[in-house]
Amino acid sequence: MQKWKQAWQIAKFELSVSTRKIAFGCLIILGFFSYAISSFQQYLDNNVIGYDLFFILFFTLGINIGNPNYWHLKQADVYPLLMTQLPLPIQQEIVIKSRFIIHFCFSFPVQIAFLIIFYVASPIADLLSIPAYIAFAIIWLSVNLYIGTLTPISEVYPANWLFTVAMTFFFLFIFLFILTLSNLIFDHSVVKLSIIIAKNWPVISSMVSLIIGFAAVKAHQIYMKQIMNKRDYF
Amino acid sequence: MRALLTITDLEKQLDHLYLGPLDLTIAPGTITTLAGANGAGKSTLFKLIMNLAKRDKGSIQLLDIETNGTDESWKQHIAYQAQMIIGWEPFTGNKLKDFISSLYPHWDEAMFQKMVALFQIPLDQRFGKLSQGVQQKLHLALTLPRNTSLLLLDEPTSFLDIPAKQKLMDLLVEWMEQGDRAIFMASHQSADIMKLSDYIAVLKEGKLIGTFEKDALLHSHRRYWIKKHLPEESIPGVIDRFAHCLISNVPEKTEAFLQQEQITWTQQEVLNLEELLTLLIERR
Repeated sequence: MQKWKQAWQIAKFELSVSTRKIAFGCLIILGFFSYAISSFQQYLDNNVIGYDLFFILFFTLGINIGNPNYWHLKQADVYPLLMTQLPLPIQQEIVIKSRFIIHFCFSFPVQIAFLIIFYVASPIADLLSIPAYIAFAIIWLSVNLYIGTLTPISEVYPANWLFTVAMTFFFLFIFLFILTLSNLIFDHSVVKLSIIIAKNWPVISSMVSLIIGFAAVKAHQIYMKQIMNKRDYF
Repeated sequence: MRALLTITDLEKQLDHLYLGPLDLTIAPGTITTLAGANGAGKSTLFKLIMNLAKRDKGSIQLLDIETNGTDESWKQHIAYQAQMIIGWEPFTGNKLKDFISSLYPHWDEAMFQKMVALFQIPLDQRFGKLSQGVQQKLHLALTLPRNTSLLLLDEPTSFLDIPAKQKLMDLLVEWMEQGDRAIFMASHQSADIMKLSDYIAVLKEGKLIGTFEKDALLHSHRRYWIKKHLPEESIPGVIDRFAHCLISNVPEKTEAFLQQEQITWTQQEVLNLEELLTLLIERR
């Protein structure tokens, strides 16, 4: 826990100049909020695959989904601020944790806000009780833990625009594959399936999601360290 | 005395350059300048020292700690000023100072304030809004006060105006006087090297030609102006020759030969540092 506290001190430095970035990202995300709420009934009736895709992307990237600067920076060889921190006397482990904290700050608050508004404003309250909805929220917030935490890793991955485009298509393919598989095997799309799971097995689904999520956070830190120790920073 | 920095058998393959094998030692109380043409590998060597680039072979130890090992405490003993800085653009000088000073337990606040006043650095403006020269001044003001054992400076004066260069020279001398420290810097400015350096390490196409004691190097080469035509045969010590002029890196042997051949010279002079470095860097 001490290391996460130290990492928070490092992350605060970047967050202190990120107000405009967060505000702009939130503004863009408002569009997603209204789409997700207004189209929910239509989604339940027709299994719209784009709705699932938006859900997965939002719970993976948070406000970065609407931040053009984020996509621009991903094309850079390495995240600029990281370049300035690496020669400083900060343990590599702390630097890595601080990148995870930054990602969580750019994603969890807006995701939690969405989940609250979604429950109040959409017809989901008719389908799920509050405990079941909490399980639903945990399932989706865990997506951020096991897929979203790949975002800080991409900051140190040696990349160029070709790599970025290739990775975008790769993840898009993976997401579409999951969505198709979900429809073929369970006859339900991903969000609908998560509603059913949360409704029938709220405790187990929450626990399994959190276990996978926290294990992934740990594993992704180790993976990020391996990449950082292999690459050159020119 | 224990070396601050020890580089042994260092090798690194780059796209267009093979750096090394390279051996170098930086002792406390010394200022060493790394000289070399553009693309010789100077900045790469600094990045290898800082573990920002991964070595293929060899060892780099700062106070006996391998810089690519699990013990990261060596970073407390070195302050690195990179040639280019990216990522600082959104921060003001005040924010950068608060962040960086908190990482160094021996941060010299008085020195920082002195440098800010001396260079007239506006700390309330964002780094990205400052001119290149002021950015460099701020970068230096955030590097020197870290009070580390070794200062690693990559082209510290490249964007500085003449008065600022002079002030920096004085600050570096003052910084050296405070203890068993060393400066290892890359520079193209012969005036910087002349004024500050004790040693000059010459890097050519990734290979270290040698590390020379500055004063010895200055007196090791001499130019002779000869009245009559020079003989065709090779002359001991001569490393370059024209119709009536020759340059020797062993003046005693050259003079003995000329006297023996009864060739008189009208004038002789030591080479200036720029000429010497050109000779060392470009000689095949």
